[in-house]
Amino acid sequence: MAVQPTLFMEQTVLGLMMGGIYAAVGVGLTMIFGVMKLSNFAHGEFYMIGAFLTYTLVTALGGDPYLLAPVSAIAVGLVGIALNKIVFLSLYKELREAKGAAAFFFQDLRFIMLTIGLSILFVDLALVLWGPIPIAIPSAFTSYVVKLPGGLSFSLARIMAFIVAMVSLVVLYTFLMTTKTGKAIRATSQNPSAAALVGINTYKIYDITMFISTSLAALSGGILGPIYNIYPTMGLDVVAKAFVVVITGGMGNIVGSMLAGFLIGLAEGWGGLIFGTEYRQVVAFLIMILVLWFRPQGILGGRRR
Amino acid sequence: MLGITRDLALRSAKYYALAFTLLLPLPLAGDYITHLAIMIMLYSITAASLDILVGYTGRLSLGHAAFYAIGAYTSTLLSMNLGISPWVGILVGGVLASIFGLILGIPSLKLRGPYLAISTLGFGVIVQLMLINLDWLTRGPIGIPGIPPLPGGPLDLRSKSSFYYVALVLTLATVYVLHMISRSRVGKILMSIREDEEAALSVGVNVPLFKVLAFIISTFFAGFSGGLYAHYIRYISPAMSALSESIGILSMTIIGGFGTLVGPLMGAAVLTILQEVLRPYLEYRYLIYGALIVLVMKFFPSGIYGLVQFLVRKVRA
Repeated sequence: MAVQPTLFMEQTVLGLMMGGIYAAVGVGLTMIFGVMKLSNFAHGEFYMIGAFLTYTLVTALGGDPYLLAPVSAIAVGLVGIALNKIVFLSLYKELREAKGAAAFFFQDLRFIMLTIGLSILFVDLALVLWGPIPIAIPSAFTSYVVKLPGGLSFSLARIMAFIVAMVSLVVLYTFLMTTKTGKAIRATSQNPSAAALVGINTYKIYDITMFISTSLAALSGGILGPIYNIYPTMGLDVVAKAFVVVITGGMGNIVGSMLAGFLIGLAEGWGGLIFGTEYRQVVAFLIMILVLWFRPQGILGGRRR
Repeated sequence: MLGITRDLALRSAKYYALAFTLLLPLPLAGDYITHLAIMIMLYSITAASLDILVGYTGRLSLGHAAFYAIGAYTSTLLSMNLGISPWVGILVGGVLASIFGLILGIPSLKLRGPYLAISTLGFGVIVQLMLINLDWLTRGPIGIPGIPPLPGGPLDLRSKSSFYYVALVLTLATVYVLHMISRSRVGKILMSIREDEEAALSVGVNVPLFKVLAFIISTFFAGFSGGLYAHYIRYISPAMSALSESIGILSMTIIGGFGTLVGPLMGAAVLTILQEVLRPYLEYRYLIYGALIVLVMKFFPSGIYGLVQFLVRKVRA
């Protein structure tokens, strides 16, 4: 099949831009898994709530989503902390006391079902609050079109979304690598009991991780709102993609997730060109299946299954 | 060993006979109640089949509705395009679903927890996309209407009350078979795999074989119930294989109490009735549904069956 060079370039750039968002959502998910051993199936709903909250702020206050998305991200992050304290805390404590494979399986299952329940609850909450009809977040940036060499043109909103995603990933990486709290998060991820022994308050680390993870997801939702429509079930599509990113990158591996995000975005763009856009979703899952077959620890390695 | 099995079979047969007798006059309550009861029974088969995988083997599946849809589409297409009897079709649907179960089961042998959950979720998404996009075969998103009913000889299985008795017999038969499997050596081995795979391996259990077997058994009955559904509702669409449908089935298994087989039946009944009761409050329906899952998982992880056992023990003491 002959592919036009312009179309190919366009899909490459679009794929990389989408990949930036996948990376941002995936990194949050992989952090929760790495630090708290929690598979959070409600992760996509934080992305969705971030988008709707940004929409509400934009319509109520005026101003641009790219200024207000960080505000809603912080609000959603606080909701994440509250959830962590109210819902998950007692389960972590039970998990620490659990012994044997069956007990772990059981706790794993409980976490997964619990977060699925939360996801259903949040989707319906959004349905009640904002209605089922897809809406777009108004932004001045959407109407500016930037022309790139090679006959490519993209709306400024898309470029802004990519830049915000990139900046937040770089900030997060620097935070984890250089600050004391960042190091404590990595230590807890590697060995929670050892981290607790050297005086790290692991439950506080869980709160911080939850805050970073949920606010990153919410930020991604907010900055994508001016480009794509937002609707209550938008998180369900993204959470599946985010898990693909996390598994491809290696569960709990932050850099792996960042890379995998771009890989999946790019593969979807190219896959759409080759197989038709209706099979885009299949491409992502096929990559994940291949990774699970040939390199189950993920492209950069991660926690063992 | 055989003696114990026979003893158990006799004892549980008594309960099944009792349940069967109690449920016989239900169609007298009218078409609406009969329809609800049929839906509960169809969901019971699916939820109980998932329990073999989740409750007995410890393998979480988030794509079980895909097998249900495979069974439904197989039987529908066979009967509508080739004129094959739906009775044969629902069995072929079950077999085809279990072939897909085998295909999914082999790579997932090594996977656990979230890994397996995501691959089964991915499988569900792929099946749904196929059903939507292979429109020359499946008529795409509009689905297939006008599916022939199950032939019932002298009985007209278009009528809800006749179909009810067929569904009752098939549901009890399925649950009985699943019950016998779970009580047999196979069931014990599956449970030993759930409890401790390494230990099971060390005493010479062929762990991969039994894990794949669990997939085959579980997906066969899911496909079978999908076929029954298709010939009862007489309309199917790709929405059957949606993630929300898989989660619905999983919720029944888990809220009912997994690893018990009876629990999923209770879960199917409670959630189906709850959906009906909450229908007037349509927009808040899933809010309550979601909250219920969260509450059960947080405070009563052994589910409704566990709660019932707890209450029975309280009353007896």
